[in-house]
Order: sequence, then C-alpha cells, then structure tokens
Amino acid sequence: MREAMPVKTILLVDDSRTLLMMEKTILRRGPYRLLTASDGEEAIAKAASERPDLILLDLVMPRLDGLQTCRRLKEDETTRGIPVIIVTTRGEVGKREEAFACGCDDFVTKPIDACSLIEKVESHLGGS
Amino acid sequence: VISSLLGAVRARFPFPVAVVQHIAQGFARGLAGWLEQTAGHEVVLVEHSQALEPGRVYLASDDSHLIFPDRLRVAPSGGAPDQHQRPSINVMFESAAASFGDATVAILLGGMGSDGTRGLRELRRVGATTLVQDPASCAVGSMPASAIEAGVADRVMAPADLAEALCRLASARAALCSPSSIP
Repeated sequence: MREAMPVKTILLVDDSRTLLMMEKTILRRGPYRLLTASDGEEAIAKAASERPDLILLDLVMPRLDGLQTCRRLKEDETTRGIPVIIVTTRGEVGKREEAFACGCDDFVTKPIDACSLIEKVESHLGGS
Repeated sequence: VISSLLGAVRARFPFPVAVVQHIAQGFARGLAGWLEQTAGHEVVLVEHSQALEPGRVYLASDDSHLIFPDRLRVAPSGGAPDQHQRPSINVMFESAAASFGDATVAILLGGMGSDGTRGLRELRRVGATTLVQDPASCAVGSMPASAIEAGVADRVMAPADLAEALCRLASARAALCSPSSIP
C-alpha cells in the first residue's frame, strides 16, 4: 500500500489581512496546510510551536520587520532549518543583500505572480 | 449610479471592471442580472477563481470578498469581514493596489460608513488614480465624505463626470497598451 505524502505546512506572515487572503488563494491550489501570522512576534511564536515546513515573510511590518523576524528565526535552533522566503516590492531590491545576511533563503517580488510563487514554494519544499 | 456609470462606457471596454456593492445576502445574483440588462456589459458574479477578461464586469458575490490573487485573476475570499463588511471595498482596493499598482483606476461611490477610505489610501500610495463621487450627489454620502476628509481622493466628481473621466482614463491606458504605440 502506498503511503500518502505528508501535507506540508506553510506559515504566511503579513500585517495586511488582504495580502494574506491573496497568498492563501494562490497557495490553496496546492496540497498545503496554511497558517497565518499578522506580525513578526506572532510568526516567531507560531514557527516554534507549529514547526512549519516553509515561511513566507513580508519585509515591511510594524514593530518587528521581516529582516528582524528572519534573523531571530535563524538564530533559534528550533526554527533555523525552516526555509524563509521574503516578500519584497520592486522598490526594496536594495534590501535583498541585507536579507540574505539575515539568513533568508529566497525572495518573491510584489506584485506576486502566482506561477512564480508556486514554483519557489515547491522548489523549497520539494523532497524535504 | 453603478448602472449609469457602466452604461456610459462602451460595450467593448478594454479593461476588466470589478464592483463591490454592499448588499443584503441573497441579492447579488439579482443585481448581476439587472446590471447586465441595464448597462449592456457581461456581468460575472465572482463565485470561483477565474482569469480576468477585458470588457467583463466582475461583481463580488454576497458574503465573499473580491480579491485579485495576482494580476491575471479574480477570486472570492471567505476571509473575515473588514469593518463589518464582506464583501469589503477596502479589501478589493488593497488587493488591486498589490496586484495592479499604479495601473488601477478606483472609483468610490456613495454609501454609508467609511469602507473604501483605507483602500484608497493604499491605492494612492502606489500611484493609482482615485476618483470619489461628490457626497452632494449621493443619497447617502458618508462613505465618499470619509475618503475626502482623509485626503485620499484625487478628484471629487458628480456621476456624469465620473463616467467621462473613466472613459478618458481607459482610452489613455488602452493607447499606452496598444502595440501601435510602441515606437
């Protein structure tokens, strides 16, 4: 008997509920369990308790921004191994070097292209 | 006002149009049929995710938000109500700002409350065009008045002027998109 593939969990982090709805609508097409967090602190807490397989993290958020959140996720032994994709806008390209220094694994750029988001998500989840 | 606005733009409008109307549950389908008859455009009630087509009018179904998951698609979303509204104008406007940026032309018509103001602020931030119905021409004008007070309206206009502005902006954008405009 073939074993069912385990469903992968993705944590979506954005302070805009509308952006979370958009990301959920795109990713709902895949076999994923989707969790959401509306700020960096909530993301860090959920990452530690839920151990998602991937985190999609908005760069600009109040209080703890995407870079600070990413740095803290990568400093913590329990969440260090979770791939982090940071969502930037075209105007934030200059932040990419800083984000890589914080340990982020990849980027997607707003406006989000559904196909490229799914490709990136699959490439980071594939085979893990 | 929506019907007269849509009726004033030509049938083969070169862009998709999305509409959110605060309406009691169960009435959206009837509104879609009525709009199609009176305004002369194909009106689609957004009950599932689908590709955006120029010339079509996409009406939010009752009890679902209308969002643009990316720049090619429109979809319903069962996310939580925003300021007690679902569908929410703020959600549609914010989603348009994220997916279409400065290519968006947004119109806020009359209504009660302040839905739309936050969405127009985000649209202005990304360089979109924001038009607001003159509250003096509305049966209930608190919604456009809220946007005007917040300073998020590029122009405040009577319904007839809104229709003319929409046609003019669409023509300008269609010319920009036409292959013949590329040198």
